Amino acid sequence: MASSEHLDLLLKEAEQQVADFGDDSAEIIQHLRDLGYLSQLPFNVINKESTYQKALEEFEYDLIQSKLFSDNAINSLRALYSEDLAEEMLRKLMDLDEGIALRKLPEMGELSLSSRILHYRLLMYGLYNFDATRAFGFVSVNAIQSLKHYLALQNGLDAVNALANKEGVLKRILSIYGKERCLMFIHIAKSAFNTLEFDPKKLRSARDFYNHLSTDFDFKPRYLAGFKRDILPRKSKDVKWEYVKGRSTDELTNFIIKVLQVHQWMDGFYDGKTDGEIGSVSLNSIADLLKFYNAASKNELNLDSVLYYIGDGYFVFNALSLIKRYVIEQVPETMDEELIKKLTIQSGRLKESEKRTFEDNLSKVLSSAKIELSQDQQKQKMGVGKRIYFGIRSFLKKLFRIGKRLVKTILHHLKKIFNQLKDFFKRVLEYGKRALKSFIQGIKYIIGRLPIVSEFDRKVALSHSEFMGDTLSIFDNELSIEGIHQHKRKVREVQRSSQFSVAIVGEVLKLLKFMIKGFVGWPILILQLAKATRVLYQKHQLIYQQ
Amino acid sequence: MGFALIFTPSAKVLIINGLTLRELTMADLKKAFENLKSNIADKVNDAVSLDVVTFSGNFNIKVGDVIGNDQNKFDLEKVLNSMKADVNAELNVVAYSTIKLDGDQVNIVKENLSSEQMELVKFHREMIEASQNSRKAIVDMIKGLV
Repeated sequence: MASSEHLDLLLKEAEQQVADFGDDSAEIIQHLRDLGYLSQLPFNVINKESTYQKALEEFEYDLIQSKLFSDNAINSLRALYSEDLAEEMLRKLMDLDEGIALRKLPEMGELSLSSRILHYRLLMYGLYNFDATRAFGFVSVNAIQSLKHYLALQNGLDAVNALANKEGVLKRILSIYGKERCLMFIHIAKSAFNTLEFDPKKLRSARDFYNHLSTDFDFKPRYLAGFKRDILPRKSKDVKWEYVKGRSTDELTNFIIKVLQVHQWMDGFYDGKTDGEIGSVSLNSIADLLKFYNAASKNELNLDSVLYYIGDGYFVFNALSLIKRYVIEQVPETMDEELIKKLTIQSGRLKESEKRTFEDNLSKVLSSAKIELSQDQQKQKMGVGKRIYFGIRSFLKKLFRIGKRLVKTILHHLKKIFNQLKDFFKRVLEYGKRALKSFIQGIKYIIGRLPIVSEFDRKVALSHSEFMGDTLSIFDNELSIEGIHQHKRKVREVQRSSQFSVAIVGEVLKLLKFMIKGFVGWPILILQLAKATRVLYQKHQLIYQQ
Repeated sequence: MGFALIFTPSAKVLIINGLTLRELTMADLKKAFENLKSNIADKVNDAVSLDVVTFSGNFNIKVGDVIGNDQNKFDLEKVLNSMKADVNAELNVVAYSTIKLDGDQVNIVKENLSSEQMELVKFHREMIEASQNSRKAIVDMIKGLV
């Protein structure tokens, strides 16, 4: 088989696989709903496609009017994504991980894309209770005032823009209020205890809780001794109930919990409202998060190490322990390379029987992930139901943490963490599809299969670049200057787009080097594709800065 | 059906999903990659010059014929042959440039340019710059592979 035939086969297969991913509109529908371009009501099946397209067009119109991005940036991104431009820009604008900065606060009475995004951010952090289509007004101003107060910022625009970086918000809280604010006192009605996935009475290990507390917090011994005496005494009557109750209703605690809920939600562990109240949903999500990470970590963190039941429905929660390990963790810059090498080694060491089990398990979790992805668009209400997006930085962090033991996790712990793994693979599939599309575009460019053809008043222009840049252009004699300009713009766009794609191809070809060395499978390919998406993303940052 | 490229117990890479495509074994894959690498290297070595050419003329191309339903089928030679077959087709070189690796550059530009052809020469200049950028991007990509 000639190499070009291999390439053809790979290309054809890659295109087929993009088609096999199926409908990925759930995430976009959710964003359109959150910004008020689509109704929160379920789609009328008959008008589904036209309603969706109309909403996207309306968003794209507002995007261009908003001037949130320069014309150059929009043109470059249009070249890269062509018909997927609106979707990509929606993702970027709705990002609370590495989101964009608004240029100014809206005027009173303004209803624009900026006001919608501002309201969306305030709503997600539980500071605003109306929908995004409400014009900017006194309620918005009050919400911004509260935010400025919590984040100790003078400028409202800075405060709103801070919300686009959820990790930054937590860091800021830690720097302003100190670690002790991450010790949270929570009250849950006893009637809600039957909805907890664990038994609160088992969370009474004062020693375990105290040990973690003294490791995580560099409190003075005097403070720790006081805490032990007042909050963790042997007898319930010795607890300083007044202090516990006061802290559990304090406003700042409420806001910090909202911030944590945003983190939990974006990481796929929380599907309740961002209301600042830790209820059974929040506590269960903390338990789920620990379960998920424990399956992928040698140093397990047990629930009773971070959550202590004081009694009478009151708990004390050591949020710092979670924040330090999972939220603000530092990962090396070269995490993708390290991860892929580790996965290759792990895969190579599996016995034949283990390989079969691995394949079966993987197949089950993937089928479920794909089915659920297609069903997600049925879930819609704001703050209720799982959102299906989180930023690329969060995704890569999570990938790194669980990826280190991904093969073993799938092989041995599948039942235990099936739901979390399924959610994780949903993200992998989404990123994989986007990266795969870029890969196909790049391969086509490299093998000279991206002719650029324009037609203007029935006169044609054609340009074609060969592998190493040799270029041929043919213009109809009667093509007008306007037609020539139109063709020129099209060529420029494709060339810019191709340079991005070539970078993606480079990343995927590096993977092939690994593949031919031994036994590796698609989990690694798809992780590599996700990494390739990051390369694309980094190049985007340059566009946004234009 | 799940996403493809799964492995079989016999450690072959199988390109799947109920498609009629045949199996790609690891050996095939290895060969494809090596061939691709060597083809790329050969082309880079052979590419001592960069050629950019811009024509104008009277001809008939149906856009649908060029793009078709499947861009993979695009074949520039076929397009040029179809022009040859058109007895009325007449192509003139507006500009031709060849740039050697050592930086020497030869440019040929048609005389007595109309205003439209002047625009084509401007377009041609842009294509030279873009072609050089494309070449650089590919060379950078290859550097990352070796």
